Amino acid sequence: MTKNGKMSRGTSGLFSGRIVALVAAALLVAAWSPRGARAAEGEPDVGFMKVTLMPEYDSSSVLVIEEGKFADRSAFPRAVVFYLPPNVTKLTDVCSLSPSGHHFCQLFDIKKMPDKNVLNMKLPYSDFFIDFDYSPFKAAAKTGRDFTFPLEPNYNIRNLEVLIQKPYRAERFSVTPASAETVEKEGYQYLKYGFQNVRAGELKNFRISYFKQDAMPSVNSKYSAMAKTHLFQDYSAEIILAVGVVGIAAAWMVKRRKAA
Amino acid sequence: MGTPVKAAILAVSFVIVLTFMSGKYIFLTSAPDTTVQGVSHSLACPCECPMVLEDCHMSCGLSWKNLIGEQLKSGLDKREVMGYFYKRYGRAALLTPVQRVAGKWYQITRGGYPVKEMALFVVILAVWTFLLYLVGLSLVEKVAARGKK
Repeated sequence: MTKNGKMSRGTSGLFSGRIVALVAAALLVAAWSPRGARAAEGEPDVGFMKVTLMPEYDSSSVLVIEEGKFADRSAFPRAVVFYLPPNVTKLTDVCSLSPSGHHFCQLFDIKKMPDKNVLNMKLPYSDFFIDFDYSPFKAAAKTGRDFTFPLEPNYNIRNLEVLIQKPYRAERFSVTPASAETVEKEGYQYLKYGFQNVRAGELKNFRISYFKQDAMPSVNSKYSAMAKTHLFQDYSAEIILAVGVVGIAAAWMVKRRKAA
Repeated sequence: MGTPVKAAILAVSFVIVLTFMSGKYIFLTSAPDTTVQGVSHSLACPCECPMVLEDCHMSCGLSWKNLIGEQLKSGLDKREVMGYFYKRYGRAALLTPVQRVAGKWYQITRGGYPVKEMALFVVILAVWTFLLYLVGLSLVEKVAARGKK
């Protein structure tokens, strides 16, 4: 009993020592390599993602369009999280797209963090489409613009394409890192970047700088495809409201007189 | 006056104001015909979705809107631009009234309009419904008084 007991204590001590070492090693690996830990959690990969940056396209901010497809269609619907840069001023579309092309724009929740905005949404389908305005600088005439767009994927991306549009009338336009490819699309020049197997959390910074003599956007919103739908284009709504309020006041006064 | 009559007047007032406001601001556009918004208000979204093109921000819709912008810049008017889309894509490019209603309803339910404008819309709806209700009530009271006489 004593001997067995000693052996037993010795064996269990050895096992528990090994378990502690294994757990410590696993924790160390997880802490040292968060991306590996994320992949192990079974997060889906994005098969293809395209990010288009359009500085001063139809407003004084930067229009950003993020669209793509998760690789595993069968993993949807599910909740997903995207990281957006700070200074997002307007989130225009947060949508999913069905295989037949139907829009499913989603309710979302956005949390502001010091270095980013965290967008939570539920995607019914694996295709996503997000567009937003982001204002990292103040556009003024005869000034330079210099900002860094942080692209922080929250999922592994197998193929990532980034397009950066050169604003009309921009001088000394430069982007770091430099792009090997320039494409012409609908009268605009784009710098094109392609990345393969981008890991979740792998931050990609694009520093964009240029000088402009004016503070006007590239396109007149009159001709812009990105012009937003407004209910009221003029002041007629305010006028209708004012007339209504005056009408109620008048009706009330007439009623009071009659009562008197 | 009984509560059912008042409720009926209120309901009729609400329907009248809602019809007018929806017709003027949601189903018709106040954007000029010389703008992309003005033209795309009359076309269907090509992305096989129920939206009106003006509300569509998907790549397929944007390429159509870019084309409209180019055509307007080159001097075509709304009729000519719509003619081009009809010739090239057929009737599917145009909107039926039912499609317009469905598309705009979809735009409302997905929260596609700015919150401030939707709030203004609701306030106008409330104010004018109340005003019409007061007017309707007074008319009905007058008619009832004449009937008694």
